[in-house]
Amino acid sequence: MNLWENFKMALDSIRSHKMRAFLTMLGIVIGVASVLIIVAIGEGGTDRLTESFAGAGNTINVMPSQDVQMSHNGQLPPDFITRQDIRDLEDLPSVKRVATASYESLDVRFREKKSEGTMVLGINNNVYMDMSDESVAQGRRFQAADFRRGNAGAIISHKVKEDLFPDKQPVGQIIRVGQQPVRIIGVLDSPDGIFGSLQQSQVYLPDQTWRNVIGKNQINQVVIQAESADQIRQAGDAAIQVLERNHRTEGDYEVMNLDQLVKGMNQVARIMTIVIGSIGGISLLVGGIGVMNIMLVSVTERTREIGIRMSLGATRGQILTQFLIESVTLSVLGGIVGILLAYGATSLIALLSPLPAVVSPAVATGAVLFSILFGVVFGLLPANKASRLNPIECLRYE
Amino acid sequence: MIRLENVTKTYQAGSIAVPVLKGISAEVEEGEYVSIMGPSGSGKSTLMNLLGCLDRPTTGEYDLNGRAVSGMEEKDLAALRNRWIGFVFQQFHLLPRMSARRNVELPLIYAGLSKKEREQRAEEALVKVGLQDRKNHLPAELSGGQQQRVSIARALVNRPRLLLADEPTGALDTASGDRVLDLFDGLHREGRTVIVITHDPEVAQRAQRQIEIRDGEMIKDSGRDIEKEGVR
Repeated sequence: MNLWENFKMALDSIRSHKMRAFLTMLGIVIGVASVLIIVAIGEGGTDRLTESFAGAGNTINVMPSQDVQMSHNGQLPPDFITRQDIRDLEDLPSVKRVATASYESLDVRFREKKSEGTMVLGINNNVYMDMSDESVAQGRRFQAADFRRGNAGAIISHKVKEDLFPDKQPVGQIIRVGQQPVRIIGVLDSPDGIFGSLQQSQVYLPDQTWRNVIGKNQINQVVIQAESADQIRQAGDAAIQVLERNHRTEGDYEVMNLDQLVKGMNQVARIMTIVIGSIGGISLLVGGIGVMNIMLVSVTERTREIGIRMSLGATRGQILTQFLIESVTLSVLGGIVGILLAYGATSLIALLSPLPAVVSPAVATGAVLFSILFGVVFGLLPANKASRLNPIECLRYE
Repeated sequence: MIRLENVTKTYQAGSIAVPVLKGISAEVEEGEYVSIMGPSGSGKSTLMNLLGCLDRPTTGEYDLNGRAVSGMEEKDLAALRNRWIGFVFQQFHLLPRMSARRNVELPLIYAGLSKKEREQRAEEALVKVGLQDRKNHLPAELSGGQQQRVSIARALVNRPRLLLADEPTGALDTASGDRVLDLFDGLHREGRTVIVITHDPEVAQRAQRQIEIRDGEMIKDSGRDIEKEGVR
């Protein structure tokens, strides 16, 4: 007797107990679907993480060393980076651009409305905004001329717009940053989806303007963009050399390669995927035990059928195969339904959130193979039980 | 064709050994029509199970067509049941979710025949029992007599040499029972060996040879003289 016959018999038997087969499969369906969805979200999240940093493009952060940070309470020391340093760094052949950011937290007002504790950032070019993946929804970005002027306009984040201009066009209006009036030239796009709730009150100013408005002359963050990916290390080494020469120190400057950060975060994402995936795996296990349970019931229920088949010449091996194939068929059907469910769910997730959740064909294939394995593993006990029954007792069984 | 020599069967009920067959010796030639009679508990069903290769004797020899069944492997027993023996049960024992034709096909599936061949042979067998127009019915849609005829078709489909029937008319009304017995007569005329187990003397009388057992021993064999203790 061939596998096809067995498979047809299995389908017959499943068809004649539709409800039971459905409930049995449900465990596998939920298990497979949850594992696939979790893995898909994990992969999608990792993709997005990599993507957002890849968008940063070959950048490295210049940071004070641990010792320097310790002696300045985690802040950058004054004159840690000077304007001259920036110019020297930009002259390096391996460096494409240098982005600096200065921060200050201030209240921002428009008439009676106030946006408290707004982060006012001074930036020396658009690299920083590109890195943060910010795009302008209304008005315009900073242009080269803005960076040369001491009284350029401001770009406000969506949150600030909501606070100060709930029902008004902000571009062209004058707000007060601290005490200083600044004209708004652009409004950033609101972050989409679930990240919307994380948005911050931010006002961007070109660095010259920032110094005039805030009245300070500090640089909080320096990011070096290398000419190309294979020049990141070279640019980092050269930058430290320049800084140490300019400041006549040694060991005060360090660079952090963002790639390492990305790798680290990817690792975290992977571990999360594994942890949550194994929880899904447990539900798959429970589903498998469900299949075993039902198959045991089915064997008992079909004792007489087993006896009849044996009396007609079925060997113990054939009975074993029959029940094994039935449990494999059940779990594979469950697996397929689970995959379809996962495809549906991930499409929905991708539609409703910024997470690009994808069920990869490889993972889906893995799920099918796993279902087959599950069917065999959890079908073995019932099938073995069936094949060991005594035909005479089976025929007498009511 | 069948040779039993001092066959015993003892069942273990807990720590007690219950002897059910206490030394049966008999021979059945090819083409004979034999009835085995006895009250319930006499051991006739156990004898049928042994003859049908569903079980092996505790002691003694059982040769079927010159092959010693006593020492056979499970797998070989299954093959014997498939190719040599056709069973007819009192309760028909049809698979309820399969049509008459698919029920009849079952032994051929285990014999490894192709679908086409199976269908053809199954239909031939159903014609033989006069149920060709009921081939697509489920057992529940057939009368008791029709179900028993389906089971006879199933027993015959793989062209066994030996037909074993256990109370074939026990669950049937007289008319249906007669029809079943008529079929057996026909099969006997064709040269098949038929063994019918029954407690009904009228059914037993249809056979050419009557064997009677009681308490696990043969007490009468119309074909042979038996000495006491059932030993020839």
